[in-house]
Amino acid sequence: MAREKTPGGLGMLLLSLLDQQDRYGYEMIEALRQRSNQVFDLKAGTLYPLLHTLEAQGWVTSYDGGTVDGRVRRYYHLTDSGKDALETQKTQWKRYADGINGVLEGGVSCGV
Amino acid sequence: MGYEKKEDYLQAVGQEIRWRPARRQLTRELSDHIADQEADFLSQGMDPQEAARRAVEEMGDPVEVGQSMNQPHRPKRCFSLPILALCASFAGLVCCGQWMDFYDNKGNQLLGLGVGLVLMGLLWLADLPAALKKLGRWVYGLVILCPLGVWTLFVLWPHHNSGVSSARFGLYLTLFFPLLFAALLLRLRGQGAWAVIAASLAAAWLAMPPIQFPNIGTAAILYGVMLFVLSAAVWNGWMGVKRRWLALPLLWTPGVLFLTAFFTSGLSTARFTYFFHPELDPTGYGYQWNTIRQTLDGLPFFFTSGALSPTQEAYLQSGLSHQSDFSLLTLTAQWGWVVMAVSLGVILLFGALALMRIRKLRSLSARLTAHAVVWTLLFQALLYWLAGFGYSPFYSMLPLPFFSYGPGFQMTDLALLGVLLSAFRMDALWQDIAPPREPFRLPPSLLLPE
Repeated sequence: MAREKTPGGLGMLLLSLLDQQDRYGYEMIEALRQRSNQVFDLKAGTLYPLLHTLEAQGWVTSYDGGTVDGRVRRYYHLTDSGKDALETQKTQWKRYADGINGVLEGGVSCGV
Repeated sequence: MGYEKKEDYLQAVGQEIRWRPARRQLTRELSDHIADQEADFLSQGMDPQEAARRAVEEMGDPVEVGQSMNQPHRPKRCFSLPILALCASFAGLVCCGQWMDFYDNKGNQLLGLGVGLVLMGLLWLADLPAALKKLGRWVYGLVILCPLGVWTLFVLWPHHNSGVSSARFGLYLTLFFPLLFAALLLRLRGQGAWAVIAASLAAAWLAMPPIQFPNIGTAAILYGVMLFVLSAAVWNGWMGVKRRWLALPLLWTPGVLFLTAFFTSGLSTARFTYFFHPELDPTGYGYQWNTIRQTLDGLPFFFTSGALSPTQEAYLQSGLSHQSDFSLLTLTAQWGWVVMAVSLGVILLFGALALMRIRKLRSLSARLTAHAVVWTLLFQALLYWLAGFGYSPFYSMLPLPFFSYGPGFQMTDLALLGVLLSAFRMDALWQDIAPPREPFRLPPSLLLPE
């Protein structure tokens, strides 16, 4: 039997953060930390390669959005195909999580 | 190995990123991130030295980071198009220089080709996104002033007085206008319906100078290319227009109306009459189409013997065969239909390869820029082919890209190809110039009550 990849992952979380508004890298790490109740404490060294891979896939685009104290903010924006990918990943994740919960809670009755 | 200083850390990351322009851009982003983190630590009351050290530490292993950032940032190579262009240039040099012995200025042609290839190479390696970014708001001024400049050139040195030099050079310069138009669109991102209207007016303005030359064919090519690019921008959501099904037909309406008015007015009646019936005036208005059709009539696919029919002989003795606008026809008269078929095949192959490559581009900015160049070259080639074989009532003063005789246009078209190759190459690093914005709307106070 082929091993199935676990759906979701950090990519989905980043797409979800960008679904609400455009954000720059540092802001995304902070938002992820707060919204996950400190569970996801992402290193910048993990974030940027992932963001650039999402960009290469065409799911996000980036632009320079002004300067703060001499630092250029490079903002990331979710594209239409990124929105579609997010929806697909969300659906897969919900199915997967329901499956896990079903097993943990004793399984679903089959009407016998 | 631990890195305490930001510079050391960034250098270690940079060593893993092989492409130099990518290295600069990516380490800048990481540097800004470290500065953000450091400022955050300082605001929490941390000691400055400790804040700087911790900010670097938070980044993770530089070798791993560098290697994973190197992966999606490689220059995209494209050799098929320059090889095709080189083959066409070489074929043009051999055919026009060797067999069409009236082109005796081979030195200039070789010089034009050499300079053109150097230009192409330099532009290919250039950082096109950075150049367009630096252009900034100047693009608005250039859109207004460049057509005025070329128009003035045509007025001061009209084509019939100056022959080939200044006015023709001005005409070749207009081939860069679709590129300028693409640069304008990159700045107008997300500006909505008003920006689309402004852009369609800019397209008409940029297409006007060739009318003064006078050459309506080139004006039509430029306007058509710019409408294609604008349509691609609207269709892909670049302009922030929500009702795309309404915007696209509206965009094409002025052009269609103008063409309808032109074709139904008396301006083009004579042209169409003699295009369809050149035999009505075979030595006057219909001379060109009549000669072309007589030449092609009964021509074999491939000549195997050296014997030419009287019509072919007559064509090769005529004035038309001495014009570079009819180079392909002249070769066809000597070698047969095979020249027509091969030339059309090469043009369509070039277009297909370029458009397939554009479909693979990640960045919409790169795609719009590439469309502006590809359609300029394709329309130019197709109109040349159609007019050269008598299938178009209009003809352009523009030569067949890469093939025809003429050093000035060789340089122009090779420079355009260099820009296209740069757009392909820099795709992985191309950032959009402007953020996506909400379309402009009138303030609520100015709206009529519902």
